[in-house]
Amino acid sequence: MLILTRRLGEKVMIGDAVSITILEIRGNQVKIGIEAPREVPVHREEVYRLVKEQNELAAAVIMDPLSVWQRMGGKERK
Amino acid sequence: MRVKTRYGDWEIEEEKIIFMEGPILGFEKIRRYALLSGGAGVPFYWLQAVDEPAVAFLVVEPKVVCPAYDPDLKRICGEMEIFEEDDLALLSILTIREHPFSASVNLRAPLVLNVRTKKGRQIVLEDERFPVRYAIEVIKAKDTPSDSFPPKGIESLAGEIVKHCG
Repeated sequence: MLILTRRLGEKVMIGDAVSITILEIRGNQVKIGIEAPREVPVHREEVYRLVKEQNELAAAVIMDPLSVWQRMGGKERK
Repeated sequence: MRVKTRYGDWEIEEEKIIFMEGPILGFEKIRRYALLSGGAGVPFYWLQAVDEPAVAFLVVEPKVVCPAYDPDLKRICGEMEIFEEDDLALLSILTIREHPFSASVNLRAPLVLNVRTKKGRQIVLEDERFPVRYAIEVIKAKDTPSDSFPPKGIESLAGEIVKHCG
């Protein structure tokens, strides 16, 4: 892992399109600003992991929409 | 075009194929999907990966399961060039457990679709009011408004399930 020391207001460039700016340091919290092209999604790691895991669980479902609907008390409209 | 699924081959019009420019997280290599209706009056759909028969998600318009769902989508709509309300379709992915039956919906990371361009992204909301696992139970028939359902945007994307024999 590359480790850099930065001061308030300083930036790190990742490639030529992504930049990270140190905006605020308070106690054990750091506020950072991220500029990235729209095709580069930026997520908090723990939320990203949670969503990814949920997606993987969801993709393993083999019940079809109508069965799920009926299981929940829904009726098919004729 | 013909789309292979776990349930056989389905037919979908080519122009209805959705391109996930912002991938479903964990499925970064899969970008083309077809939305298949679950039947008349059924609020759930299949979002079937066109090039991966084994990958399909059950999806629902989030307002059907959570009428108070009102995430701030201004920024994402700007980025995705969604200017008209009718161009926006929102879908949430369902997770089902069969034995015993339970269902939850991911309200934190909806799929935002531009109905006009057929492009979509899974976004992760900052808004912590909306959980990744929002449990749903019975949906009463009276809860699904028949006039406004299905939402216009989604309906225009969804292909009828026309099963191929063999």
